[in-house]
Amino acid sequence: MSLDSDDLNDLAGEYVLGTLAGAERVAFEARLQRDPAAMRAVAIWAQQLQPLADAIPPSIPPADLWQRIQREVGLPIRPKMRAPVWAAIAVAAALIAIAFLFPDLIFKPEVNSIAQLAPQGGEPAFVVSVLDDQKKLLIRAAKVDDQPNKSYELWCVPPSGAPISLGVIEAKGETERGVAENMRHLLTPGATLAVSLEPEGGSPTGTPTTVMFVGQLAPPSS
Amino acid sequence: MARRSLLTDFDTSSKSERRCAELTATRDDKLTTAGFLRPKSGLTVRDTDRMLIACQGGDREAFSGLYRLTSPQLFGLAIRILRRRDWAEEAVQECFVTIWRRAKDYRPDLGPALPWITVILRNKCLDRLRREKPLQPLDESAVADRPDEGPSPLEGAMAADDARRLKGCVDQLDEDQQRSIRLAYYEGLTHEELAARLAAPLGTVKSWIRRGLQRLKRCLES
Repeated sequence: MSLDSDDLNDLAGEYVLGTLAGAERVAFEARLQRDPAAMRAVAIWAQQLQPLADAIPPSIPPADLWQRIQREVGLPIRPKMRAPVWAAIAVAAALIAIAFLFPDLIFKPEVNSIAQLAPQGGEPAFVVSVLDDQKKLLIRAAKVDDQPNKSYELWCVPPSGAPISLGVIEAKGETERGVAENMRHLLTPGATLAVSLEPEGGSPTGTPTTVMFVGQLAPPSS
Repeated sequence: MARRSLLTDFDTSSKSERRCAELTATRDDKLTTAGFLRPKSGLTVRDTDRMLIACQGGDREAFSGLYRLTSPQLFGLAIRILRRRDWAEEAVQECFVTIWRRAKDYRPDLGPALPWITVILRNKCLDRLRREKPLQPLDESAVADRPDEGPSPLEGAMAADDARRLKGCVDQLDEDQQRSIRLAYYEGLTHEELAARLAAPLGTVKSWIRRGLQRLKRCLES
């Protein structure tokens, strides 16, 4: 590698990292507009440092942020969801609340614990109930967007070690499933559950691809 | 739901999809040959590439899809860097306005969309920090509401191949190099601020960063 390209790599690295400041940063940004080698170097650094950004837990922005963006760029703002949809969601939310407060009314089997899996600061997307001495799981989709060509996958996240898949779950209605015997001891109050968005059919790597919703199991009475 | 159809409609726009497949295929071949990129099995990156390319043609549905797919991760990162939700909201807003207006600057042959977007977001955050810094109180109360510094329980869960590789390479750096690169990335500190924070001479800090990045690059390419 020539001295020039070494220099360029250093500059591009510091630009992406953010330590290139003041006049140097302005000069480099001007160069980026016209120098393909600089663009390439920045693109490579951006890609290589991306895992640092991916490691930060996601946080759902407030609902009106998208409208603010649309307004600023001059795009028409879509009408909000129609009333019947809201009504359906309200009914669903009420049922979830009842299920949560009085599980015996809704669930015939013995409920060991319940987790509400939600995006950070958001409403629950899935409610997972652990039933019959950890032998069974009942997963209810509460407020989930059905994404085409994608699957949602449920995971148990142990305090240490890699997450363990509990299988692909439906984005609508309920999924019921048995729990393998060696997994049952993990599904006790306090355990963390997560749902990830995966390519259709589930995670290709055995680890979650994009974690969407997280929650903790709690006793049904709490 | 109205929102669901956004993605469905978008997925059927096969023209931009084909164009994207061609562009990204050449890029991935080139980069893989150059040792910069291992082939990816996840589909998320491809989705964002495709949406950003469609934004270049003014596709609003794609823009909306891109927002839905990437904003939680970007908002989380902005909160981490800025430590204030209101600033983080504004940074995400400015970021998406820039994405929409400058989508044509994105070169799919140089790399995936998400790192390109992350550079924009971090630049908005850095601009904000550097604009506000003189006004910021330096006492401890200012950092009281900062997000938890420790690794999130899901950090391991989200680690894909790239993340593991980067982590392995970061771990090989000297402690000072690691610390200064992390502080620069997650807190947006300049050389001068790093020198003050780490109580080290400016020249020393500069060389930690520069050597650290050089070693990182060599390790990632090996």
